[in-house]
Amino acid sequence: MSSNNQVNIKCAALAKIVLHSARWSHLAVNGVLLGPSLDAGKTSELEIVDAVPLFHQQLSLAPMLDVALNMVETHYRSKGLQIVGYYQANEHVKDVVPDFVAMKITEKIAENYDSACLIMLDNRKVCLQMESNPLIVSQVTQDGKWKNRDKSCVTLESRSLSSVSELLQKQVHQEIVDFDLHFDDISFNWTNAPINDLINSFVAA
Amino acid sequence: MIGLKFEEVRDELRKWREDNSRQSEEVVDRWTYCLQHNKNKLGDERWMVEEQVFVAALDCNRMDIADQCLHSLAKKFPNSLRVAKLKGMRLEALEKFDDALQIYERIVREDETNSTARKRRIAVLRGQRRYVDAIKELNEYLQLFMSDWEAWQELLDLYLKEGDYAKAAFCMEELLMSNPHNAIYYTRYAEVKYTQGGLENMEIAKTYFGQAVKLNPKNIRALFGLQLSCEQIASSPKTTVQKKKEAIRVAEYASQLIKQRYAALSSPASTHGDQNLVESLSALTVGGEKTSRP
Repeated sequence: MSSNNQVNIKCAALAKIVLHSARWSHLAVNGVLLGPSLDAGKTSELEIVDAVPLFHQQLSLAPMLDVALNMVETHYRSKGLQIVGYYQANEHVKDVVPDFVAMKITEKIAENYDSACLIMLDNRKVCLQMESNPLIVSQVTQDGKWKNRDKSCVTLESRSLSSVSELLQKQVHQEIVDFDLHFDDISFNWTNAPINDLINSFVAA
Repeated sequence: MIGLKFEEVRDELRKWREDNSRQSEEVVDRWTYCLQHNKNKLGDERWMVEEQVFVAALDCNRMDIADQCLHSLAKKFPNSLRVAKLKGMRLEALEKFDDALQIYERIVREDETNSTARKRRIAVLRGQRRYVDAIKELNEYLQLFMSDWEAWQELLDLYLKEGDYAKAAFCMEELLMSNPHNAIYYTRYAEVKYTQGGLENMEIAKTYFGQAVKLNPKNIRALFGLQLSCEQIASSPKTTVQKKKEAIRVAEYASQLIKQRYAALSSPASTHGDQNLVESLSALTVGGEKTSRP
């Protein structure tokens, strides 16, 4: 288990999590985290490259979760990425405690990926001018318990907070697609390619 | 936004009222840039619009707009219980829950048949994250107002949040009885049964997903659900040979329909990608990593 390792989070991951939560701000939302397909034991750092929004309706139902996870794994395998964790933003603004759904799904992910992490979004830190990292990261420790990682061990890609703040100001969150939306109408593309392009242009600038 | 015509905006808000959809940011924008300067053109609809904008403003933490609307409504309808409820909602938005509850209790005392104030009480409990209390009070409410479908849906939502799938299934059964032609209800019920797991529940899931597909063949959730539940049935050691054959046949049928739906998407690039995804889904081996839900 990687209790001392750094966790590096790219702007795209932060952006997708925040935008997803902002679009359906009165509901709980969840999704999975993507990282490079490397053997976890061989790297000293966990890199979270992107996030894929899953649901904003019932988070605790199994069938669509099974379908979505399968689609995500298949799609990103060819791009050298795999599911390395799970994120959730609770419906209540002050609630950052993972519920049974979050624990269950992350444990399932951890079966395939030792360093799997669980990210809870601190809704109170989401605003139009974000100043501090709103993500609370936890991982399983040596003794099998879930523990919050210290803030000093978690780094965001530079300019992430300002970029995501700008995305919120421009109301980009109205465009983000998750699997619930995709299953309602499959012409909505859950890979969010246009938003990814926009995020990349911000970070490159 | 500036270019939106008054009539279009008015019609949009009417549609959102009818659908009961929560488009708070949009409603507040349209009020700010268009409607508030044209209030008098709304006629009788004005008061419903002000109420709608009030609630949307609370959602967006625009207390300035909310207070303006509330002031107009209170002036027009001085002793109205409906306006009193709005005052309660304002207090809820300010997290002054006890004060809000006092208002709702007064409304119920004055009018026992008032269901919205009772439901607001339950909303307060949910706002305070007292989910177990909210469930208890919602059950009591439904004893009195048993055909309130919005309330049954709220109860379903709360049970699912708490992981009580059996009680969630019961709520879904009530909703199905009221609405036996609603494909979404069939799908949702099937999803709950699937999540409960076990062969018997899986067979029920398969039946209800199948019914949802009959009611609406375009429902992709029902198609995926049908395929998955059949695969689960086929891979169970307790399934008879005949049922296994039938399950595999239905799974393949569902898989074909899904492939057709994705193939019909216009973009060739996404079609190709999605075809691969669908192939991978139907390649899930019977008896593979999928295990029955605990």
